[in-house]
Amino acid sequence: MKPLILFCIIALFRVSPVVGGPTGSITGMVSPPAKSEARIPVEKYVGSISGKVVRPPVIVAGVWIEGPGLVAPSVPASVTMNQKGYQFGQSLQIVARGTKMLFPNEDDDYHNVFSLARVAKFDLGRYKKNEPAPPSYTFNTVGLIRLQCEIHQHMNARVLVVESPYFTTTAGDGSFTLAGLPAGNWTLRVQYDEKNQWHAPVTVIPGKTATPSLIPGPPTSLVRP
Amino acid sequence: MMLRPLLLVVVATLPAWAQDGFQFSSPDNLVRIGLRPSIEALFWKGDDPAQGLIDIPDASFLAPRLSLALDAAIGEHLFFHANGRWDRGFDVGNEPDGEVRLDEIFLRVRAFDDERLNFQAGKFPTFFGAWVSQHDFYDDPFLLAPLPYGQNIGVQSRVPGAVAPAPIAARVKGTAPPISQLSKQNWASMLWGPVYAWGASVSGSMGKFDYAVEVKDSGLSTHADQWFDDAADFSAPTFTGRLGYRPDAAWAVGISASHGSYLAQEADDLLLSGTDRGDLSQNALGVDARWSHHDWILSGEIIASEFETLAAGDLRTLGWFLQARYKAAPGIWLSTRIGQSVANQTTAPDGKDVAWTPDIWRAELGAGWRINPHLLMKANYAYTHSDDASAGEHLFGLGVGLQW
Repeated sequence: MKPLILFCIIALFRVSPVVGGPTGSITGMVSPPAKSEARIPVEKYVGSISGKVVRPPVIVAGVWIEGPGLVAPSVPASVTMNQKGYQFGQSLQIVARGTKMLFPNEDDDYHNVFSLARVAKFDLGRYKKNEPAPPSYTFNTVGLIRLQCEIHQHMNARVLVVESPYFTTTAGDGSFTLAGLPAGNWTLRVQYDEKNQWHAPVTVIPGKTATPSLIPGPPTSLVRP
Repeated sequence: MMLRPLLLVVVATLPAWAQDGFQFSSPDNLVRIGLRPSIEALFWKGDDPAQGLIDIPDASFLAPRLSLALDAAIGEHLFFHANGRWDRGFDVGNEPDGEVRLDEIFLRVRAFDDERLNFQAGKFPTFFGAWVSQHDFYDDPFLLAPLPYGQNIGVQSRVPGAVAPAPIAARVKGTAPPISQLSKQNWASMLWGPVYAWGASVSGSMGKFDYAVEVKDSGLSTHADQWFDDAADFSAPTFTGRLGYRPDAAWAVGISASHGSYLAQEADDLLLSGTDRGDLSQNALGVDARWSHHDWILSGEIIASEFETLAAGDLRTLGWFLQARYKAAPGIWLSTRIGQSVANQTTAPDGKDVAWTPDIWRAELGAGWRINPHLLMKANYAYTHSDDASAGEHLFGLGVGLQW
């Protein structure tokens, strides 16, 4: 009986991150995709833009660790993806599975946010500024979702839904620091879009900063044969 | 010499091309180019003769279309747009063997950082009304144009003398073929689709107001061939303007007016000396309104048009339509539209008042399914009833479009 209890205790420690214990961090850098800005924001015909179109937000990637025992929080905090200056507020938002995202419109014209991604198919309809409750959507499935505006085709953004409580985004130059991580062996992942993504096995040691070598592409276990 | 920098831009942005559509830009982002190819296939089936401006030899017809749209920008103030197409006629079936056209090509200068003042020159759609801003396959909830934008009326656009009391009376009596049996390309429509004619415009948006003034080489009612055949002939120009007001995001209203000749250039050869086609004008006045909120869009237009003729006086017609689109689910919409076109009367040789063109009304149902961001499927059923008993009544259309 005693060996069985000992095995269970060891197994528990192997799969569950130590929450509240000493933490480590990871730093790294990836190359932002060599891409132009979003579609040219010119309306061919008048009537859908009455203000100034601002430059699109800086392109950033999502960074997170995943591994056995790492799951999204049971009740993640809500986040906001606003629309202002005829652009989305961020080029990419990384959120834990189950996160509710609010989409307030801060322009004087309508926006109509929608996604036709398989993991999150929704259409929020036409919402205007200062409606009593901004439209929202809860992302319950892990994956990369492209957001668009039905009215302004130049607007686009991405949502990266992950099964992890530990995530951040890169800076505009591709650098990142993911801090406050539990000790253990994890898989680090970095993703801009469907094609530009990296992964690396990483060991987080309390009080130390790891700088793993990133491998292009998703982990082998996620690559379709 | 110009090719090398362009080649460098293309090579430098190849990764972007492969990854996220056909977007190119110079390293400093000063020059940006966007290419947007699309393929559409429309299948039409209905009564013979078909409704609207559809000119098909059989009861069913396949109308494929290849399009390539090019957008380019230099800095924040200079823009270029072109749209080339291959299809079987701008009006479905008009060129059954296929033709290549440059439907749009224009240069726009934006004077300020916002949209308050734009100058534009080239070949572009008219600013009249509101439907034109949604006429593209991927924006329009229907396949057919609204009744006032795509239905022949009893105004000949090539032979001015054909619009006279005697032939009008003969058509009413049935001793001459009705409009529906005649060549659609010889007869005007109140407006002919988006009117891709050559010209120049000043337009903009200031707060809640939109405005546009344009001068074009062809009138609102001219058919598609004239936008090419009479290219850049401004001997009988058409002046058009629109003033729009948007009290808030939900509402948009506008008033449009236009004045210019409705006759083709070749009509000048048939007019007596001292008269030219510029003396016979189409005067049009339109009011448009749109309300939208969440899953609903309701919109409509009323257009009154007057055609000055040599022998039948001023012929007046009034057309309207009201349409609704409802988003039933993500990527899926349902739509419905009703429209009507009525006309005044002219005096026949026997002294009686007769209708110079048949009254028409149309009811339509539409549906669309955006399967993914690139792929759209649409369906459209239209029932049209006309005083012309020989005109077709039922028309069904199914379209699939793939856009990058």
